[in-house]
Amino acid sequence: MLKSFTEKIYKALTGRKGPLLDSSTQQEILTAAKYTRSKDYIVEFDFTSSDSFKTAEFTTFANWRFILTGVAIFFVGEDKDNYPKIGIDFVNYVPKTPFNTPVEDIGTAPASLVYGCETDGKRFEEYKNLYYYLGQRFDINVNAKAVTPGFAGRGYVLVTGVEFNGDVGEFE
Amino acid sequence: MATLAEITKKVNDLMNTQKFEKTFDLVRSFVARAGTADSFTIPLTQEGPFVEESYNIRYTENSTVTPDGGTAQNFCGVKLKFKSQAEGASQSNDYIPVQLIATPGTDEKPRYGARPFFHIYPKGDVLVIDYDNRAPDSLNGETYSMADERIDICFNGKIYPLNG
Repeated sequence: MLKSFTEKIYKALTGRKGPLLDSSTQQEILTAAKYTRSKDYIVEFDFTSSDSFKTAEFTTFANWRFILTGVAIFFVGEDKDNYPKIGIDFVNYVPKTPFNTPVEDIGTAPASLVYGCETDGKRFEEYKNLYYYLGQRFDINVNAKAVTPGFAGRGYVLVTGVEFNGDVGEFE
Repeated sequence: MATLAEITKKVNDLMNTQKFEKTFDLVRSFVARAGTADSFTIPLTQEGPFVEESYNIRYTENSTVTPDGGTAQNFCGVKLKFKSQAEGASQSNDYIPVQLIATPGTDEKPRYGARPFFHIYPKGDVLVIDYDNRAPDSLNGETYSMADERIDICFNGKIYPLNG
């Protein structure tokens, strides 16, 4: 009885697989954690029914390389059936991005963002992908356009990713 | 079925392992006062560094926005920014609307789980939470009525006790 009870608790509490941690592994984890960290970049932009451009220029911390891993978009404005069109252009990146399109040509990528990923009203799930910024500065150009004539709205693009300390070496 | 001796050994191993790593949640609930911007802090443990792996955020929607000629709708206008006190630098370039980083999930909607976010805080550091709950500028003649919002944040991660 005790054995069975203990084992059930143990399984519920742990679930660890593989070797148990020791001090050297601990140091490896901490060392790795010092060289990698998450980072968010937020771009706020107002838009109208005409093309509305906004360029945001960012500079990463010295010696930190930024790898973009996701984009989330949030609109305040038009209703669910009238999401604004949006194009996002990342500059200083490798390789090219599917968001790199003028607002008139957008369709596939942004539409899938809108209709496939709605979670909470007008918040869209992160679009997973990888973009490598080899420089320490990058720009994000946003071009948004309201569907409803005469309408103005506000949007936010959250670019999230991981930074790697350049002291580790080259990643190319 | 493991024997009691085997289970005892596993539990001892687990205890030994926790000398080097143990999961930990840092929780802070606060009220973002209407029309204000302020900061809250979470002092971290003196045991060792804390490696944040993800976080969950829950928020209320007591504020309202009324479109020009329309009816009032509830919303939350809180924006957040996190930073390590020791580091000084923010983990985002500016305040982020809470809707973009909160854990989706209500009674009617599925819960997606924590948002992954990795950051190491040195031993004894303080996690700083900046918030802004001021009304946005009006774009289409809409009017905002800001109210106090309750924000619950749980940072998930691991503590790595030193000298374990």
